[in-house]
Amino acid sequence: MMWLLLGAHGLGIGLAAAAGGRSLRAGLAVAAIAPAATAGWAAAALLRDRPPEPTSLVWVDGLDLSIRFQADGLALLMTLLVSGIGALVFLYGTGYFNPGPGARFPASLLAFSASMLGLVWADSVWTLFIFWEFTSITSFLLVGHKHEDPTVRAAARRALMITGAGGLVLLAGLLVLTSEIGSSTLTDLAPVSGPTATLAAILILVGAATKSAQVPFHVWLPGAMAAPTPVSAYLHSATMVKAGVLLVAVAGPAFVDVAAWKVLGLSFGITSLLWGAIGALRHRDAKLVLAWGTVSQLGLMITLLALGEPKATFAGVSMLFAHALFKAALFLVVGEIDVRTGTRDIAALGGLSRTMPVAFGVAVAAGLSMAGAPPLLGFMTKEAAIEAALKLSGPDRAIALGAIIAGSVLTVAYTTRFLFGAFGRGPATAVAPRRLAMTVPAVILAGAGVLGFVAVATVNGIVGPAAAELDPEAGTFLLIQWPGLKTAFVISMAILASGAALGTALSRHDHPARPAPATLGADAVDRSIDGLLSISPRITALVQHGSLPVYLATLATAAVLAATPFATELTLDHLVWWDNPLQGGLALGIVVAAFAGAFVSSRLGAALTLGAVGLGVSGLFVVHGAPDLALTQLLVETVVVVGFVLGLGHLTRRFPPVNGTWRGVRIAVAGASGLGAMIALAAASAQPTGRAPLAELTSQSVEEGGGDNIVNVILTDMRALDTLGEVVVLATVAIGILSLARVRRQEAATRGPA
Amino acid sequence: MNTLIALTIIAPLLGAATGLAFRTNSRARDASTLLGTGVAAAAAVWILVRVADTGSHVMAVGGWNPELGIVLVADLFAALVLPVALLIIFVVEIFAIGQRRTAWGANPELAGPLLGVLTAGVSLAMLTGDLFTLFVAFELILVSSYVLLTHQGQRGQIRSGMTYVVMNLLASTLFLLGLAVVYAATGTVNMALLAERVPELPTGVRVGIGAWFFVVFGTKAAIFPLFSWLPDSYPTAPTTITAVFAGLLTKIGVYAMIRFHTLTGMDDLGTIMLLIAGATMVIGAIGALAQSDVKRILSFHIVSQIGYMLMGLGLFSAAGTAGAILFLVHHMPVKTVLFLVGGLIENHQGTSALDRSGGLAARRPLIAALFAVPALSLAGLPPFSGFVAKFAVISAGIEQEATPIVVVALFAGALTLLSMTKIWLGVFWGPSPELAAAPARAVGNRRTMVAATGLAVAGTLAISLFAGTLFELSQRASEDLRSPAAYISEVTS
Repeated sequence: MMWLLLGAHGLGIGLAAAAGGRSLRAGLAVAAIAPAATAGWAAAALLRDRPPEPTSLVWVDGLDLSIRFQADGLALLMTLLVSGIGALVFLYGTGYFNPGPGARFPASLLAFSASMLGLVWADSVWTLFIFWEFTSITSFLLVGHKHEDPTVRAAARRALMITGAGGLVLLAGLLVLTSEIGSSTLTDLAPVSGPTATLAAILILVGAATKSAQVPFHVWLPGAMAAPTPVSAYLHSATMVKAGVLLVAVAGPAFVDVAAWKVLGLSFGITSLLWGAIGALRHRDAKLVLAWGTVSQLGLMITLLALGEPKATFAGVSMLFAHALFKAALFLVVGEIDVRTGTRDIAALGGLSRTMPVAFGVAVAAGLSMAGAPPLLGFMTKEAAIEAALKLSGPDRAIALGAIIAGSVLTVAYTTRFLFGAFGRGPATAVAPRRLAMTVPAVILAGAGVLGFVAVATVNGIVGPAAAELDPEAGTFLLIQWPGLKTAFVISMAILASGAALGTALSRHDHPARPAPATLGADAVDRSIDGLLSISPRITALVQHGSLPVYLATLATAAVLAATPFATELTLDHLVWWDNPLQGGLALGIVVAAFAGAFVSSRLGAALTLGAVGLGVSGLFVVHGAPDLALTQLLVETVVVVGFVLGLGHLTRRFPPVNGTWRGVRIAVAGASGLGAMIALAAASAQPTGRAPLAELTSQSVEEGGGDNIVNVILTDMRALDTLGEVVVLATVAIGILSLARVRRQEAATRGPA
Repeated sequence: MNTLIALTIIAPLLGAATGLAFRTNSRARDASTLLGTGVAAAAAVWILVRVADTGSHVMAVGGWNPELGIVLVADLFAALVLPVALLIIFVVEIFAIGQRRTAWGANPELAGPLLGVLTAGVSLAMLTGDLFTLFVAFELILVSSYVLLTHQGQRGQIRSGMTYVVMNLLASTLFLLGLAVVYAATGTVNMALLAERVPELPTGVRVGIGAWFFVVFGTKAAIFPLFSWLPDSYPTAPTTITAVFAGLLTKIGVYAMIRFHTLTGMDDLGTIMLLIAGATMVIGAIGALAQSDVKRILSFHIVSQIGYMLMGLGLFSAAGTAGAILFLVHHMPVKTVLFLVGGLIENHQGTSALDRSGGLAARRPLIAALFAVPALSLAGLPPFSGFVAKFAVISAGIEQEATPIVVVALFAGALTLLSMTKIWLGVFWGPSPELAAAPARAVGNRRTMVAATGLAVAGTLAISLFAGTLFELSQRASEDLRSPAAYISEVTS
């Protein structure tokens, strides 16, 4: 069934692109079908309490890469969010966008939706990783939807680089983890411990933190608000950013014995909880307020899950559920405000409670749920979180409780400020007519928050089994409508009162004329990426400087270094000075000519000394009794020298002068190369492990080859293939020379007579 | 089987010779080139099917025994890589026919035959079981590629061709010297006999030989710090030529290295190889970041990616070598495709410079899609072949607990992603440039070009899809190379 649903998404992508080519709205409507069906399937599976059959497909057996899906309680909860909110967002989009064609957007958004399903269904770390990376790519495409704007491109790049680099860190972490436990199946992750496990824990947490926008990796998320609002509502609040939280949740059981997991998880979580909320209070763009709020709320979830206590795990999963509903609703409202008023600045907006009453209702219901006020779903989950913190012992209790209380006060404050800023106060901002397609999804999502409180049993039926997948004990807790006058409730009320007071006070300071607050951190990331881009030419210039002599010297030096091992085996015992004194004389001549060639300053002199070296070598062949080789060599040398002399006419008579150090380097490299070659040959011939088959060569060339001249038989029979190759080489060179000559002639012809 | 092996070398040469005969009839010329490569590619595919099923096949050329003559060996490694290489050339030839007027510029009748020579060289290099014949194959490849690079006679091409040919000729000289050393030490250039005799050599000589050929093959493969000839010369050639070079030439160096260094058991060089691999990955990726032209960025990527293959080899484990082989198989088509897309980009907007590009995704979504697949694959993102290849190499690194190189490999992966983003943002997104400077060049038959590119992209997707089978074959090839007893007995018996 899961394959079928993914297939439906695949088909939907094609159809949505086709429909979108004519009308973007139609494309979105078509795209909504597959998610709606999937949400229905997940809801049915949850209600019937019968989990679907796991399924798998082996991809690369040798690497344990396979696509394995399972839909346990947690996966079904996530499916409900991904596909349910997905379908609503597609519906919303049909009102958000103005009429006109657009194939790319619905297709990309549906592709994201499908990737996210794969991610939440994954039962193998590699399945999870594959879809994880998919979501990064589709997110990049969606963030860059309005890519004509350079700030949008910068934001898309920032998001991709942070999540992409995080993906690589995660890959490393998962590799370490799987090699440690020897299995890649997620549902039976065994607890690990030891330094390797610590390494895996840190890497996986960092990977999760990049995706779930945890401080200091959060900077991409506010930038991602450059995307159209449906994207922000869907990817960057309800689903994709939850991937990191989900990973922390499912990997948590493996790391119960690893101290670093909890410490680092709490550090990420608490820092983000507080810093995110502060960010939400600093910004005036409603989308940024919500985005920073998301950083904060994700921090809270990570904090709860990293604690590794059953009650906290339960609270974390409940938060995951509640947050997706209220945050998506709030984004949809902000999108509607943006479309209908043309601004999202909460300092500039005002009085929308009168002109946009439905949106106001949605915002209040969702906002209060976010603030944790009764009678809403968010209230019950916040209660659960506080209670979980109260149940802790030791320093954990103080830290967690303090962080949750402080974070919640700030959350109430920014919610208040947002609601007051947009809907209260001042003259009502002028609004365009309502678009029904935008209103309905927002009402449904906010209504779900209310309904969740009323029908708490149903919610418990969804959240409980999900939490039980992570920790059987966590499944035993329930969300409670009216806890009575217990400590947690008192704390809750105190939070609401102080937060509301703080928010109201801060709200008075908002003024549209004040400059927008600095985007702390984001520009630093951009600067470092740009810095990397601008420093790279300098690094490259060090190795890729364009000087051929230096390249050649580098290669020669590498060869000399490669020859150094030969020196350890160098013996001279097996060497004789000569078989015939003539060889000695010729060798001396060759050496002298070679030195002369290196030091002579005229090009003609160099050509002639090279010729002399060749002549000496053919002399050696004669002494060895190989007159045909000597003749060949002589011929080649003659042609080469003649060629050189002919070519010299186009060059200066003398070599360009070479400065002191460089001259020294060249002498050293040349000397070392010669020495290296000598040592290599001497060492290699000292203790050979095989001899050339001379006797066989002699007999076989006569018997099989039918020739007395062994060299000829070798060239034309035994190694005829080599000869063929070299003949083709020569022919090719000839073609090359001819073609160059022809180009010159054509150029001369087109220039006309001078 | 002997016929099939012979065909992979002879058919392209015959195609080249026939092609040269048709000086004015461009259709007949194209047909003979395509036929030559096509027959060779089909033979190579058939060889793979046979070898995967029944094992290696040795062809003693001229019937001489391996001590005296040359053997061509279709073992699994050769059989796996060769069809990929030949199919790439085939697809590029189709692309080039579509783009003829711009791609082949002056002397258009020569490009096809020269590619034929190159193809024969590639087949020979992969199939030969003889170190000297490998040298000859390198010469064939070097000379034909040099002429392909310069035969249009543009000044920039001749200047950068100089760097290319001189560096490679010095490497060839070192190769010859290495052959002399090997022959002095073992009395043979037959690889199977070398696999027997090199490990018995005194340590210094053995390691020296390994290091020497590491430098020789490393220059061909463009490893750090010997890669400098590549980024200077590749971008100056016509796109089709560069596409072939990018996909094949450096990979022949890697191929030779994998074959020689595993067969002769050069495990001692592992550490130095890993060091060089890391430097190659990072410097190549940084070099790519520094560029502002699509073709130059892609050229530096070649260098960077060679580092991953070298990493797989340098681990000297069964998994590592298998990873390197899979990486090779993945990389050749992906890199070629990227250059073909580079050619499409150039063709559509008259330039591949980033600052004069923009907005192509809106105008040509198909080109954007054709770019996205291989680009994501090269950056190592799932589910594309590059992910599997990188995954194979990196998990082999984790298995060997080679932490530093794993960290470097991941870091280089991030840099690669950034440089791909640079192309994407520069070419496909952003405002369209002033259309006043729009393509003034002849454009050729775009439909053929796009179809060829699409075919190649489909090929890379097929590699992702059948990554399981390919990895299994890579593993078997790796086992064969690392325990060469079977190879030795097959060749020498």
